Amino acid sequence: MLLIWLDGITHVYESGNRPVVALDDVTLHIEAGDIFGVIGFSGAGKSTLLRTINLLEKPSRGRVVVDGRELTALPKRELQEARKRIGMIFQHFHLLKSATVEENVQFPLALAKVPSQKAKRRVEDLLALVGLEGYEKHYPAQLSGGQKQRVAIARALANDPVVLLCDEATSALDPETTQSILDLLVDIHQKLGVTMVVVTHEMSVVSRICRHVAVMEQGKIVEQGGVIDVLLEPKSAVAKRLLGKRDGQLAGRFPGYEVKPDALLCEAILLGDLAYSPVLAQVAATHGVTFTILSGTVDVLGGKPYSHMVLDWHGDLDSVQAAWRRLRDVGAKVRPLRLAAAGEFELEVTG
Amino acid sequence: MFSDITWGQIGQASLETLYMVALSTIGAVVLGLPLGIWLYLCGPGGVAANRPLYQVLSVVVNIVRSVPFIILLIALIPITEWIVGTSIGVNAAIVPLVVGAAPFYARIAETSFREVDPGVVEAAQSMGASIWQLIFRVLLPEARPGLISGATITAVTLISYSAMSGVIGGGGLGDLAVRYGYERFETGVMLLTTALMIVLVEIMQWVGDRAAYHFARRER
Ligand SMILES: Nc1ncnc2c1ncn2[C@@H]1O[C@H](COP(=O)(O)OP(=O)(O)OP(=O)(O)O)[C@@H](O)[C@H]1O
Ligand SMILES: [Mg+2]
Repeated sequence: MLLIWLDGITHVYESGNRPVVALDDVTLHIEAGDIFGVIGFSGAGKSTLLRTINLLEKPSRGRVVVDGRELTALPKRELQEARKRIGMIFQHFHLLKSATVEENVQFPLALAKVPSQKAKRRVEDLLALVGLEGYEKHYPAQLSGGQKQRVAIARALANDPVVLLCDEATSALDPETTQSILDLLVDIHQKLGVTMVVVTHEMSVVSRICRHVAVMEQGKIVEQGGVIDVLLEPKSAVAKRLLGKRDGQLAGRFPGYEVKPDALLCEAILLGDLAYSPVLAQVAATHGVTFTILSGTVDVLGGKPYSHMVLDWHGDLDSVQAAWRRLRDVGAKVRPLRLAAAGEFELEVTG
Repeated sequence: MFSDITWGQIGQASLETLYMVALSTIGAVVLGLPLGIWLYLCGPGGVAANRPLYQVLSVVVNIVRSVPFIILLIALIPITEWIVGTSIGVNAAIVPLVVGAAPFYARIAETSFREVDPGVVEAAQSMGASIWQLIFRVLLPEARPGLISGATITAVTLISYSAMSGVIGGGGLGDLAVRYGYERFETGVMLLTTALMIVLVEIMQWVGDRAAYHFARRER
């Protein structure tokens, strides 16, 4: 079921001396139950796109439909009502500093005039969900960044939203806390089935939790699709650059390792069960060849494990190529790399 | 030294000052706070930004603030008479004191609201807060320490303003200091009343600081 439909959205910021086109005729469909990532470099228009969904930014042109209601056509009162079912979390949490954890989570319930007894029970449940029991009476100033984001998540979920909008929700957190917040989001997604739209500039966030992704550049969506497809076979230059940031070592040199001009290098990607199987070693043994791992990542992609490696193969050309064919046959992605002029590696485009 | 002045008069004057300052501070807050909220909401970057309206409000506030208090005191006599029924005495002094201090407090309130994290305001809007909910559930609680310090500053300023209200028979310590100390060269009276006013300022400042600290402490 289609939950969010952005139809021909153009957003122009008029402030300042010359207008900035932050969104340029963007059309986007997000299905109910999805975790949808929006990625792009700074200034691409990601936040503007996200804030258009709950109309914090009113588009200059275009329609916004959420859960069957055209928000852009609603009068103010009804828009306020509709917003109660759209949760939002932010990079800098935006908690009320004068209110306790409990009061912060209760805040949206109070706005929706939920009776206080019912609200109290709801707050208890929510704090349990985000793992903050015992922190009811704390003030935000007494919490760590990760805990503040948990409070913000509980607050955003208070009114049973149909969608949770996340704007760089982990960008102010350290890697470990980022992981715990991402785990929490996935956990919430499993338990509540709430649709999530996740804006980030970090590919790792997309690969760890998103199912679908849109890549943005200069106010346009330049590429979108399933996370596995986009991340493993990026088509746009931006997506490639964003991926390059994650796999920086891939395009660079391998310090202290001498790559011979006739080296048989490849990039190998193993997805799903394959990622945890000893398939590389088995295939190498069968074909009487060996390999050196020059770089590697093991991570989760679109909810599946995957590993991504750069390998230098040793052995005669025929055997190595037979090994590569065998790997492709069992489902691995194998792409030859060649040594570019400057001593850097490039993906060789092969069929 | 205190030729024709009794301790009773000084006690009376102290009470008058307290009375005037307390009531006019309350009046200034009651009028100034909504004005401050209005300035904030329609001001630059405000939730209901409205440049022409803001500029009109702003100019009115600035005009009242720049008129010397002594002139305001006299200019307002007709209005005072209409509200209080008389243009002399302690109660009559409260009207110009409120009018003079309300725009002052409004500016302080506006500044306090501007210091509220705009992200929090935005978060509340994203949750569907109406403008009234925004005012009562976000702006007022979040700006509370600043609003309290602002009320303290206003009260302290009003102590010195109230001294000028002697012109219309406002009474109070400041009046005593001017009439006896300044006009009749009774240095003793002047020193004593001034000292009492200093004590009053100190007490108010202390109370205000404690109150602001009470609310701000847990927020840091
Ligand atoms: N309030 C504003 N007034 C004027 N221009 C703005 C405003 N907000 C954003 N912009 C401009 O619109 C463009 C898109 O901004 P946006 O914040 O959506 O980008 P972003 O992709 O979220 O970037 P970042 O990763 O830095 O958060 C940028 O060029 C930015 O300068
Ligand atoms: Mg942004």
